[in-house]
Amino acid sequence: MRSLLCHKGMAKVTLDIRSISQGLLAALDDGAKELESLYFDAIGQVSYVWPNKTVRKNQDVVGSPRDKVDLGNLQASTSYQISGLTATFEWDPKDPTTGKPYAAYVFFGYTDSSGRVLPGSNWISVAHNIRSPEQIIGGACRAIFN
Amino acid sequence: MPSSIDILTLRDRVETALSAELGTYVYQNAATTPAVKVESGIIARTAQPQRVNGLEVVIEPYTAPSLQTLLSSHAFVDDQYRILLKQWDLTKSVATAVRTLSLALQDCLTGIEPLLPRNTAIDSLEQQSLLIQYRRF
Repeated sequence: MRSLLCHKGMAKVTLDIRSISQGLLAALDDGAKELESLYFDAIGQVSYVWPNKTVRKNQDVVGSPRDKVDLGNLQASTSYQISGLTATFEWDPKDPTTGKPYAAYVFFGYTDSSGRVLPGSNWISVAHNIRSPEQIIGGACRAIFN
Repeated sequence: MPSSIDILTLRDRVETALSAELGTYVYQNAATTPAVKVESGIIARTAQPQRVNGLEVVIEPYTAPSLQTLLSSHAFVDDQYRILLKQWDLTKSVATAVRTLSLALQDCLTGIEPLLPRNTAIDSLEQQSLLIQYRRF
């Protein structure tokens, strides 16, 4: 921002769009890092209702509520890309036995052919209820422009 | 967004739109009904089907309704529902039904979730959901 006091006693304030734009990009970069950490923690939160006990591949026996971490592949698959002013997050873990992707089944839930309904686990909402993207990016903007 | 419909109207519209594709609930006495239900979260006291044949549609609340009051003191509620289509016939798909329903409900359709194909590793049925929002006065 540049201000100029001219001889008439008038002040002109001009926004430097380039530095604002650079600041926004830096805020998005910082905010995305914080969001990635929030999503990671949300997957590990013991808050997911499940209809039965499960013996996990890591040998833990878990009931309900539970976290979504067995071997940690879903958490470890958290990634994001920034393009312009948009951050896109993705989870794409593969089942170690079959090699098939499974994140969508965990997220949306599914019904098996015996009629058992396995509920979804919306870790994105869990994370956003802890701290919304608006709060995170807003905080990052304030830190950068202060 | 349509001016005012309710969950029963929505259910009827789904049943009418999918009349050619909807599967059946089969009860213990061999009676059958169209395989469409509204999940309210209340434990059912009526007879439950023993099995499902073909395409099943489950309409479930998606988020808590949001009540808003206008300056005139009239109020309205925005209801959000998830319409989940499940294909119990392992040789068929939900794709045609999703397209049919998207067109039939385009006045209140707000989104379509990704198709979850049948996954033999976890024995899941093929499924896909539509997100609906409408205003109730």
